Amino acid sequence: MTRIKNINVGDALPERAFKPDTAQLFLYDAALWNAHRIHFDYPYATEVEGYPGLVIAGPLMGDWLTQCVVDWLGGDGKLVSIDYSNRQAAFIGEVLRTGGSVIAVDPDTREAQLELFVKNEANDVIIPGAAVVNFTTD
Amino acid sequence: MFHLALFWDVVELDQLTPDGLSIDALLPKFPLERAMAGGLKIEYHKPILAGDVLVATRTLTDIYEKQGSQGPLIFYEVVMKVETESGDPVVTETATRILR
Repeated sequence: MTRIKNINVGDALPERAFKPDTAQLFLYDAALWNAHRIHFDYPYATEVEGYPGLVIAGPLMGDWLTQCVVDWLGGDGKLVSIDYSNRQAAFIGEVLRTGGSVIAVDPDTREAQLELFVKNEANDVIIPGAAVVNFTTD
Repeated sequence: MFHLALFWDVVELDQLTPDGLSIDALLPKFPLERAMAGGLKIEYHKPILAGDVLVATRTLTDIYEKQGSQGPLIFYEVVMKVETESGDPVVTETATRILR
């Protein structure tokens, strides 16, 4: 039996909490050759750009959404597309949560559509997202 | 999302702007300069195999304005198409960035 038969609209993806610190943010940005000072230069981030702290890189949180989907899929399918919008910034010290749910399943194409989120501690969706996954028969 | 790092230029330090970002020759000079991530859309067309030679083409596809709660914002969108040498699509990435 293939896994798509067990997937239903409304199914929740497992939630995961993240508390990124400066070391994680440094490593992520270094891997991307991203020297944007809002991520590591506290006086610059707060005094020049007026942020309350060091800004967590938007694509890092987006990659958590990819991880959320890929972990849920396991070896049962592949990610076809993912998109997300950085609506609200997050800062070092915050605890953030990723998760999502199934909003459509098509047994013919073996595809499912997912709605995704990154939420902050106030439970605001700071990054809404969506993904399409394809369940393989293997 | 490792494809992003694959095609991101590693530039000399004097090619960084004062806020630390790499100067992007694709972009015009904008009247607003403080950059923020806006979001990404990534479409995966085919798996990347060992030995593939991939070619990426970046195109500035949109520029628009919005009024934010704290002032005007400029949005711009860059589409990066990653293809094999023979032109088969591999990844299409649409990045939105915001200037305030």
